[in-house]
Amino acid sequence: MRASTLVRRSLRHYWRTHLAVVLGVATAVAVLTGALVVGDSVRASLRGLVAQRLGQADVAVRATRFFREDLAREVEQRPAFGASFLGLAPLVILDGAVTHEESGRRAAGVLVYGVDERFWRLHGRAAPAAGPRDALPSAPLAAELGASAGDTLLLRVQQPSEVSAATLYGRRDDQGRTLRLAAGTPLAAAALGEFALRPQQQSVRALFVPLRLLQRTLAKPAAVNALLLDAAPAVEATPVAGDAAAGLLREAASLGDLGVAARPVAGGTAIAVEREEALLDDATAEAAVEAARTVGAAPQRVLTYLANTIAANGREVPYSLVSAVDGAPWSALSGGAPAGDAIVLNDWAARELGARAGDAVTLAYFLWLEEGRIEERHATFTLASVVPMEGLAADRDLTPDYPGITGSAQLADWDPPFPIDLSRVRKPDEAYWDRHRATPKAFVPLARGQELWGHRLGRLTSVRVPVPPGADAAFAGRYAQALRAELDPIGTAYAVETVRADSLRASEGTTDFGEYFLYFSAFLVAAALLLTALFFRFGVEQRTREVGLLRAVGFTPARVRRGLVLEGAALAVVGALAGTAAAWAYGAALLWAMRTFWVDAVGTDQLRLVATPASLAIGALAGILTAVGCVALTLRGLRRVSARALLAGSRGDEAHLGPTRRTARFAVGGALAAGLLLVAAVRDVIPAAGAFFGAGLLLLAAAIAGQWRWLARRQGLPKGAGARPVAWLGFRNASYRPGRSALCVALIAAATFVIVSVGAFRRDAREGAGDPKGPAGGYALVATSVLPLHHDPHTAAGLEALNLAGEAALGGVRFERFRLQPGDDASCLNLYRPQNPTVLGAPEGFLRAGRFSFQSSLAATEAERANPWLLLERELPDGAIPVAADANSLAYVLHRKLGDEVVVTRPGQPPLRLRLVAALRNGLFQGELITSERAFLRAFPDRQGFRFLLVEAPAGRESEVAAALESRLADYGLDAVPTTERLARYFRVENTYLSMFQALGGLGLLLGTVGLGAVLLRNALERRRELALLRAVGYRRRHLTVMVLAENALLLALGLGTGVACALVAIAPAVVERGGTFPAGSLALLLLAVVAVGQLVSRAAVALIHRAPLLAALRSE
Amino acid sequence: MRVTDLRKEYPTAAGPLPILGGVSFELRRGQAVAVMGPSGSGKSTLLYILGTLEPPTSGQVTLDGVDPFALGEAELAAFRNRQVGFVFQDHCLLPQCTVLENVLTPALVTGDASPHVDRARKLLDQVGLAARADHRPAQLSGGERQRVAIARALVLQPVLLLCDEPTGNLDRHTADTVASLLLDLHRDQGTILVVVTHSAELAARLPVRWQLAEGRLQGT
Repeated sequence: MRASTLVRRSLRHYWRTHLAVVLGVATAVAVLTGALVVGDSVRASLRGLVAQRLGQADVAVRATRFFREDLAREVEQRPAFGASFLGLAPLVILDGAVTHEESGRRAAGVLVYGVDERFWRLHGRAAPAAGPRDALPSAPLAAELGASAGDTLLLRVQQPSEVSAATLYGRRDDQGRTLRLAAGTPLAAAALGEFALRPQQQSVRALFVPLRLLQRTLAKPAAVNALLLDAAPAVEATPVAGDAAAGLLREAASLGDLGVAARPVAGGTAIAVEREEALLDDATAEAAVEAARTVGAAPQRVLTYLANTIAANGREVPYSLVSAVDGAPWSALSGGAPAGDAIVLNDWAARELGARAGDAVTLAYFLWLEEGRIEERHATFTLASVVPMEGLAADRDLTPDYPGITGSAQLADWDPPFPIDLSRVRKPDEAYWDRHRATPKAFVPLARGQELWGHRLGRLTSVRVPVPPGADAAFAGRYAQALRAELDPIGTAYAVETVRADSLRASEGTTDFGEYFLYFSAFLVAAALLLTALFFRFGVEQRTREVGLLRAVGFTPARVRRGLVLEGAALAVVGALAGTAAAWAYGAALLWAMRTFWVDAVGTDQLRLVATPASLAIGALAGILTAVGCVALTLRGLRRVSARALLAGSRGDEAHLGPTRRTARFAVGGALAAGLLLVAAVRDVIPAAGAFFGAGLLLLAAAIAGQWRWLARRQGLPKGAGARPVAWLGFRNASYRPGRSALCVALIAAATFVIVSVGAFRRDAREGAGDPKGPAGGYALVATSVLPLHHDPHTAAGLEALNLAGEAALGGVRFERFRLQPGDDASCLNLYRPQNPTVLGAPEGFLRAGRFSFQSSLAATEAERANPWLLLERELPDGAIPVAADANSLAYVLHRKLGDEVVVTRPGQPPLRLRLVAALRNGLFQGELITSERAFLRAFPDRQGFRFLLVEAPAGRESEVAAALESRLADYGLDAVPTTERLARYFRVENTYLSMFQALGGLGLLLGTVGLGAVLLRNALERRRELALLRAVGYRRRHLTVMVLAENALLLALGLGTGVACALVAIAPAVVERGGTFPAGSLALLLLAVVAVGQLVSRAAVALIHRAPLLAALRSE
Repeated sequence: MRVTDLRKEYPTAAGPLPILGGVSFELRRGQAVAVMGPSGSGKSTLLYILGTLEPPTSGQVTLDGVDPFALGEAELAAFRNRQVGFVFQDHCLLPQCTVLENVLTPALVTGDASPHVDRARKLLDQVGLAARADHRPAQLSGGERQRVAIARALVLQPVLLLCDEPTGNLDRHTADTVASLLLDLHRDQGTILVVVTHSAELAARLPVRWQLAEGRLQGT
């Protein structure tokens, strides 16, 4: 026999007592491990969704523009392709709006894929059976539209345009195309119907359209804007796949694939470097100049612009091209150095104007302003010289191809995207056009031209490279090669996205649900552990004589304690094993809840139960360690008890653990400190929210200490008649073991405090709706469009252009238009970690208006402190872009703090650093980062127009305005919703989290109430002789029942009352400040449930007491 | 065992409550003494101080020249284990262990009780319970339980055997049997036997009887 035999024997002998301990540990472990299992499950489910939605796509090559479909084949034929990739498919990816013709139902923001059999082959699938005009909707899209196979779908997508709509020559009207399609059989997720390159847990609304049909409709034959690559398994989820794809693209892409042309002009005496976009961006221009130097040529920069009028001497010539040049060309034309106001006319124009050197020449020209309107401006020059139409002065290639202008056979056929007055066109003008087409009639110095017509997208229309005298025929080829070498496809036109690696990284999630559920379950775990410790303590108290004996026969107190802890550890292990098994059930129950009534927190029902061995081990180990810790703590008091006292059956805690004067001093001190905090807060000495919460906590601690002291010192005689004196006896019973009673009160009060205070943070989207400083900024509607809006709806021309003129519903409506760089949702609605968050460009007027409220900022000046939006206008010295973000998104989704940076990738441009400078108070902008429009245009020059609107509408007319906007702007795929609806979606997530916390906290509270029942029962059993005596002197069973129930009611009332009162103090300013509501109804229900459970367990205790042989107990006395 | 001017007081709200007021005596191996006195006279206090379960307020106890109260906690426990055997009125058997295991309980302090199994069996034989070695305390009568407690007290051959009302819970016949057994074993083992009892019958069977009154010992 060894000492361990004693432990084994004890474990077996006291199994009934131990069972309660095991159940307590099992509950704690089940809750702990279940929380971790939920975390595992969410992560695994997100990874599963990634795998399902990406199919075999590991890398995506996205372009800012359409490129040759053949590039795909050429990439595939590169020798290095097979080393890293198994397949490749070209496709078109667009955003679109789909309308179900029969029902009129509409879905905006639909992912539109133009695919052919290569797409399906890449994914190892046979192409679904579909006709040439059949479109296959994803099952969620079909369900949303109510579309069945054979129904007609109208797809609206943006017509890709080479010339940016942000410039004068870009098309702003008719920028969309509509396809009439027949709906095919909806594609299930398992059949790749929810294919998506960007991870999202919500259902994917996608439409698969035949590639050829889409190309034909968009007038982009044999062109695509994306490639998908299936990487070899070894590299599919690594950056290596991206590097390999970038390498292949660099090898295969031609100048044309980069949208750059180097064409021979001027009879082969020069090469003109141009872009299809008409404007040559600075990077390409710089590359063209560098390449020219490489091949020994002297490059010439040209900017050609359209003048509405060239006027001099009271005469005018309409609609003429003017070229701005410098260097040798200017010298050749003007015969001198560039002067700021100098202009050179060709002899035709000079003749028409009767102009001579020294005459004033005025140019009138249009500018398209960023705010969405056109403006005619004037500039006056001094005629430097008149040149004959020969050489450069006769070169019609100085003018790039402007759709609607340069291709016209006559001036009268012009169809530019700006207003022209064809009545001004005279016969000589037509004759000039007929003979010289777009040959410039005037020349100005380049610096002056760029000052007038330079654009953020480019300040040149071409770089001309004169063929050096004596150059061989291969010069043009050499130059093109040099230019291509200067241009990196990845830096100028393409982005390589390692979609699988990125998505898997993102699936680690913004929200660790395991961690959240650990927080949410804290009270449940605490209650379970408390019960564990309580039951263990009860067990040990039964065995005090045994402990005394062991001490008497020579065991040291430490060794006795060690033995008991060993017993506790063995019980904890058994409990942990049972709890680990129960964790599956608990985790499954939580996931079921998250798929059903807590679905707002996760936004998907695609959750499956997964538990990693690590989580199971961690949960079990944590449960064991905590339980053993609790057991060790409960045994601490035994050391102080003498062996003799133990042998006499004393627990010894009566003398050592009772409240002392220090307890009373603590209670009074705590109450005073709470009072001081409240006074300081009322007088604005310290922030109210923190002060009140601190005061609430202090009051809670003080009240519990005070009640402990009060319970221990209760005295007095019973008063009244009937049940009252009996109930009084019950109240006195609470003083029997004041420590136990105070512990129960503390547990119930603390849980109630947390549940009530958390409940008050529920948000209601309707509160503060009209307040400019409120969560909606005072805006009634928020709208997003598929196609960008270019025109200013506050002008008559803008209303006309947008088809909003004459719409009565829009009276009194004002718009705030934001530019939009689409990206990942940075709000709590997205469970994936955002890699490239959506960015908004806010107009200056919006920033100045100072709407919304900020939680914190990096404001350095008084003006910035008063209006932190102004921080977004800062020019940061290191080139980062200042952005504001929602405080919650910042902390819980992006996991950043002020001063940190978010780096986003941009096709064709280097990564962009966004510096977080301000945190908005929880509101409308949870999904986006916001910067100033100016910074936005610098960061995302390719983004055209406005796609995000905040709308002010007269109160009560929100729905009418939303309907009118959606109807009138249907071609833009506009979707308008009340701001309260958007806020409600966010608040539902927050409120659901609070519900989870309250539900699990409530369970903890109920478990704590069961503990209260156990304490009552234990007290009654310990005092069974006393109760037997009462029976002997004439008390009836119902009297004993009243006593026990009264004791229970007193402790419950103390706990609930203290918790609620202190919580109300704690949350008072937060409720006022944050606009939360106090959910009195649901909390009352919860507290009633606690009272009911409390009474139930009391009844159970009473039943057990009545079953005990009380009179036998009396006889034993 | 030498006891010199042993005093014990308990602190109370009204001031120190004296229990023992200068007890001195000396006992040699093989001697046995009964300590009698009214309730509250300090009999049990004296016994527990002798058994080192409670420290005196002042005075000294030495056993074989060792003052146990000068030892540290671990040494004191070891001293008690090797030198002192207890028999309580409420036998204090471990309900979860068999009779044999209960007898071996003091031997568990060394970690392994195996070397003491033969002696435990012999003692059980001596107290007439050899056949009940594998029974649980719940299966024994009150007298049998007390006999197990006596065997347990002697398993490590202590110098000092302390008995607190060893027959207090037993009927007269059983009490007589247990007393005979106790005295027989005391003689066999040569222990110092101190018995605290209210029972005049039991006290009469011991060669020396002391009366404890007002905190002092008086010989009878």
